[in-house]
Amino acid sequence: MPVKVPENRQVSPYFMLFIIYGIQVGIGVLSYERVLAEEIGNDGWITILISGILMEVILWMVYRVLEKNGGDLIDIHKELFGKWLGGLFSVIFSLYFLTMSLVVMRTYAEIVQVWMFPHLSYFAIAGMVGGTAYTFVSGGFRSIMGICLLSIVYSTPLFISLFFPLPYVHYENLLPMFHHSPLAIISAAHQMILNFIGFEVLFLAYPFIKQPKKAKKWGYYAIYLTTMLYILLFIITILYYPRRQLKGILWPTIEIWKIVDLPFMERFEYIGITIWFFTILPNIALSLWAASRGFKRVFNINQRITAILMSILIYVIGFFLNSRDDIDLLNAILSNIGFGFLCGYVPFLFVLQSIVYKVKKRNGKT
Amino acid sequence: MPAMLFRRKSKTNNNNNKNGHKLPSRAERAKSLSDFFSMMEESKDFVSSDHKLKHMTVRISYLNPMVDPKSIRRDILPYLISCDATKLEDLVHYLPFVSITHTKDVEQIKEKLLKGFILIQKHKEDPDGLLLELTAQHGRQVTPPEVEFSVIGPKTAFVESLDTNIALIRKLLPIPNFKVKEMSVGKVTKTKVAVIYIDGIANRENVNTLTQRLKDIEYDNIIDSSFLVQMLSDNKHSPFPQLVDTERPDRVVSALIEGKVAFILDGSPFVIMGPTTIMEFFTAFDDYALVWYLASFFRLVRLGSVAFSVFATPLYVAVLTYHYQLIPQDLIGTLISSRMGVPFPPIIEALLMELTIEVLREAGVRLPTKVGQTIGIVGGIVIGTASVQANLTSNVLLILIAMAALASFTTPNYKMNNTVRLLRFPFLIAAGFFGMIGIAAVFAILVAHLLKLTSLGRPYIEPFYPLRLSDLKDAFVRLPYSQQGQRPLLQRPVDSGRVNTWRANFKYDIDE
Amino acid sequence: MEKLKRMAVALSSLLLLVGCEQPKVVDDIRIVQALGYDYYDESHILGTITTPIYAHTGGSGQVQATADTYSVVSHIGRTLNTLLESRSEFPLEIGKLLVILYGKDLAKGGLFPYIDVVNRNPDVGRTISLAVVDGRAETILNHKFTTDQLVSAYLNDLIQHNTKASFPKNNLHEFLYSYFGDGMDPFMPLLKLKQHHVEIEGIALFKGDNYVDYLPFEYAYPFKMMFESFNDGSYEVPINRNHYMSITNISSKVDYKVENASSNRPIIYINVKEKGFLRESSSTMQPKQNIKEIERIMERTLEREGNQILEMLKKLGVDPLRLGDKVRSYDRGWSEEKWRAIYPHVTVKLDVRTTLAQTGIIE
Repeated sequence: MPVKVPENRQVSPYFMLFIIYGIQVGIGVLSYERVLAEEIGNDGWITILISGILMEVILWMVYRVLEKNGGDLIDIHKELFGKWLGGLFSVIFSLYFLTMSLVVMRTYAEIVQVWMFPHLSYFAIAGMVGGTAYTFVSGGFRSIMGICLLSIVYSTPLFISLFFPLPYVHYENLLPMFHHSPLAIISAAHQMILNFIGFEVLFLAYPFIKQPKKAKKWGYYAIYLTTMLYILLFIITILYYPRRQLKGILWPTIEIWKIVDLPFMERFEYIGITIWFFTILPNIALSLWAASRGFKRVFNINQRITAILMSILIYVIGFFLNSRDDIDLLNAILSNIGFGFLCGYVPFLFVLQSIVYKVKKRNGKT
Repeated sequence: MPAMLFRRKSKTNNNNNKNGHKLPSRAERAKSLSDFFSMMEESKDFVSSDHKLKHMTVRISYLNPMVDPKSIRRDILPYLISCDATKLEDLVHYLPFVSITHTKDVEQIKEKLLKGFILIQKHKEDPDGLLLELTAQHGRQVTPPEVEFSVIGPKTAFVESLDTNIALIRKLLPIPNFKVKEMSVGKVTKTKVAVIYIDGIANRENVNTLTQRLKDIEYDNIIDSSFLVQMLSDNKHSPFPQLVDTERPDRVVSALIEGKVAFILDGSPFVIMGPTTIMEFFTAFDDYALVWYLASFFRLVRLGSVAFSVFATPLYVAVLTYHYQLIPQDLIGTLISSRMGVPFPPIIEALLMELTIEVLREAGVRLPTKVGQTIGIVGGIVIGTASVQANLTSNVLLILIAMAALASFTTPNYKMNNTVRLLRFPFLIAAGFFGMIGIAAVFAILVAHLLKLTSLGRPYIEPFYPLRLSDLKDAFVRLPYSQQGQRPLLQRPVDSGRVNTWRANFKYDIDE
Repeated sequence: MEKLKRMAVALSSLLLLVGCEQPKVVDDIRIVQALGYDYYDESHILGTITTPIYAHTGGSGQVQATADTYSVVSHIGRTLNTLLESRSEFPLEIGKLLVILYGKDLAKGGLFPYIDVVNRNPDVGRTISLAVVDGRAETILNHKFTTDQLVSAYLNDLIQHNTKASFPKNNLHEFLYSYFGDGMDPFMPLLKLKQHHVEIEGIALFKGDNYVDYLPFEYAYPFKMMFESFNDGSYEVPINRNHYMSITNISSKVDYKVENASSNRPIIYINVKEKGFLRESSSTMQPKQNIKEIERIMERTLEREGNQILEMLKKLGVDPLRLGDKVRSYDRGWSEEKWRAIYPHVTVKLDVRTTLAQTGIIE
């Protein structure tokens, strides 16, 4: 029996845009230019484009799987794999989101420590981030949607930072174009995974959206927007830095914020990092929500308790990841899992589900 | 008797005939009435005397201060004395009153007597009497509003009498759909409360929610509508008021036409309206009196000054304590030299100054006017300048704090004013500990709180979330009347068309 | 109520176990605004810093600042910082750094370690000015100038406003760009202390991070003309032996094209389109000297000077004009080594077209 969500807990269809955009734009966007440039240089924008298209396809598959079932992932798992195996898979899915929130939180804490407050302990930063994320989770899906919407509003000032490098750009950096092999370009897409994962939260959030058919187009639009943003940012970064220098800059996006020079304020990157607090809140809130909701749906335990426990868990675990290498490793692990999930598991579900349905239909007929 | 007043309200009303309880017998009623009379006679202001008429005697009882004495001499006694009635019921025809209640219900007699009605019985023990309403009008005349003053526009404000207030509203709403429902709240004060709305525009749900909540109130002392606001609020612990109060009839009428529900408490000059959004607390009547772009500009100025008032001092503390790199090159000399020698870190300095301003404000409110002006000058100029010269504070901070205090007064609503004053402090403390990240975190918590807040069940920060573009026309900016053809969606009005915009905007072709 | 109490306890205990950030209260720090590095001996360098000391105004309004400059000697490396701190009453912060000066002797030996220090520090902005000093940096930083500004502000303003006019764009970002970029070399202004003023002597040319030589200031404008498009600055044009004219630039646009990019003899075309107006003339114009002639003279002058610059650059083997990068954008097989080898022999064709827009208010 697919899960039904009461109408007053649902949100309008266009929120699909905010969900996906909110959870995709997170910490990946602060440093992705470097890894991409290192691997594929100035043709990286093609890689981004290809990744975007790939993501649209996967989104389409996600929609199909969800629509055919009518509920959320727990229901799908139950239907396809039975109660126990399906439950296990759902638990793994929840843990995946838990890891996502951990990664985002730890990476952001590191950024704050490196750029703004070297002496501030991880506990303080994570406490603030985790605490505020929990207040949104406890308000339910609707309040998380609220922060998704508002965080996009609050991050609009950051877009002015795209204009300031323009006097310093060197267009020759883009040339020569296409001087990497297509295979290299496509295989570099795995660097972009971290920037696009997150929209699997739809697997749990789908029942919360009113008129899901109408909402689909907003989802495609969201991925289109994120792809465009990444391409634009990447191109500007490439035009602004020579490749060899870019390899050494750990957070190119934040470096670009350094250039912004307003008459009443210098050093825009501090403002940028502060605004970024709001950009990662939807990520962490949605991931925490997804993780605790997964557990609730499988085990029927109170979501509030699970959410608190999970927040504390990632709070504590994050403390043990101390060095740059640890964090990089964590990012890499998440990237690989995400890649496996998005490009492996989702198509697998899609195919499996169509087979199972066809078999059911055939059995039903006879 | 006293014990009964504080007993928990039983599920059913006491001795209510309508509930099908057995009616008390005449003997029971008589006893109850005489007990009542003996209690009342202990108070000096209870007057009860027999009068001999042509064919019968009557006993007239009333509470002296509550009744207009001239009226008794002029409107009752002459007619009584010259009438030919023999029975109580016939007196009704002789007395020049439009509505006289003839009742045997002892509870009603007690209640109305206490409210200032005049009781006419045949004799003292008789639980059967006429009740006449002749309450004297105490209280002020209709005066200009004090809190919500507007430069242009009508200068009437509500007074403490429920009837006068309803009259003020009725004058502006001469339609039959305007409904007034009365009930009483407060165990001891038994205050009258009137729920008003326009039937056909207001959503039934809102009316029912409000009525139900009013009925559910358990408290003995309801003197002012602001008590009620706290009890009726969706979230009683939130610093943000969820029902908007106003003392202007024109504002109430506009709200009612939009589909809001309001209630008036007898004895309070503030009418409470709901459901409401946060933007309502930042609108003033003048917004609608000026041309739309001027109004929008001033509204934006108001919102900007509120934001400034909340964030200016915390930003100062955060930047000066942790983020000196943000300060533009030319400003840094000024800031440093102004802080030179101040013995406290910026956070302590700011907290001290803020608390001083709060003390000044509180003192200013309590002092009588003549002394109050002196304190303003003493506080502001002398203390301020002296503390800068004594190097206890920096002059830049002083300017900021004074401007922030000034800016917070642009809020038209008193309750929101207090909220804004209070909001500054968590930001200040967070800025002192964690710099800008602290400000961001507190702001996020504030946003989370606002997102969950509802007013009579409707979202509080509509039209920002849920995003209702059509309601944005009257939020940040005020678009011209020609654009405002629909009623705001917040109240989910039954009838949302306001005006025939096509006809309103129809333009003739050139030279036609 | 119970829940609120529990939350309050939890939150306050959180605050206790948290390590708060060390405050950098703005009047409890020394803001380093200028940094200078000089060669001391084989294994030592001399570091100089300037920090403003702001006087307390006590409500009177005027801000007085005096500069406090001092130097320390340290081994090549980061201990400079610690030694500098040992002499300062407050912690040193370089978040508001404006200018870094390098002594010429030091610059000849390679500057990258001293630039890397600020590059790694997230506190430092990217638009700070770097400059080489013909002489010693500490001399300039210690000098008392006639302007009442601090030396750091003076130097920064000097470099900034000239960069808007006739001097090519240069700051930390541009330096790093040219340093890290393939097929380009960085440059900086060369400063010299002359009596009580600091003068920009010219453009200090670098190969990698080593200072090699400089272009005199008179060549700054033609250099800039070939380097970037810009809208300001002025230059002198000799009409004949005794008569000179001063032309102010309204708009100068430069465009590059490369032919035979992959060969060993690529040809680089630099096309400059200039629009200027006449500012000053040392003689009245003869009626027969029409605009066209003047324009041709302008073009010839600029081309001549530009070619002189190009010859000098090729001889020195430095490429501040980023010609290598231009060739790279046409050639997929380009490599840095190959470029370095062929650079002294590469053909560059400079073509300047000028238009004289106005001649001022006098005919």
